Amino acid sequence: MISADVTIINKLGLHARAASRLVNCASGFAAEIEIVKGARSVNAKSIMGVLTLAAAIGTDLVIEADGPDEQQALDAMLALFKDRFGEDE
Amino acid sequence: MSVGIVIVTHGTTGMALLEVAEFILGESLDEIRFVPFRQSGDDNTTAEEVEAALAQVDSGDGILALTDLIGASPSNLVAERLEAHRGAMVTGLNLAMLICVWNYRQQPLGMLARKAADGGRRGVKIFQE
Repeated sequence: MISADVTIINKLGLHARAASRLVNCASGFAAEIEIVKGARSVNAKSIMGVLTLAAAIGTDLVIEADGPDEQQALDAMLALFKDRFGEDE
Repeated sequence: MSVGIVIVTHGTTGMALLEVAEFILGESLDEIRFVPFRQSGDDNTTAEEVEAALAQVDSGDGILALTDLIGASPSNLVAERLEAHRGAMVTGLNLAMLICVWNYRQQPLGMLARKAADGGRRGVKIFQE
């Protein structure tokens, strides 16, 4: 299992459309992917799980990936956050 | 394998939820059939209209009907027809439930119905300082 810290930098945070993009991305990998916010951990392939994090801009998260393609999965997830989920701000 | 999905709500509530879900998910949800329930004197939704929608989406793998209010006419109309279509109904439709159903639409009926109910409940939380 590998993990990385990430901070939400897009203005709207992990809102519905961003969560949908994240889940789509995560679902493309065999690895199990968890998003951790404080004491809570949710399955990155479950949109309701991701939405219930209610994570706004500035929130610190940890992404954990475990499986045969864990490195690619982690890289892809980090790229999404860095790209602000494709949003302008 | 694919469960047929139908939404039956008072007025156009269900259509509005479908439109918002399409925006959020960035894809068309046109596999889901919507039946608006009207009750305005001359123009009432008939049992035949509901039956036609259920029959249209029933490809033999069962149907899942999502309705707004338990015990109200849209739910009651659907409930009477579930047996004929080997169907399940989940009441209390909200946006969380709809998104969850779309996510798991390839699951068999029993699992899909549980995901719907669970997703709908997970969308209801109290936030208070």
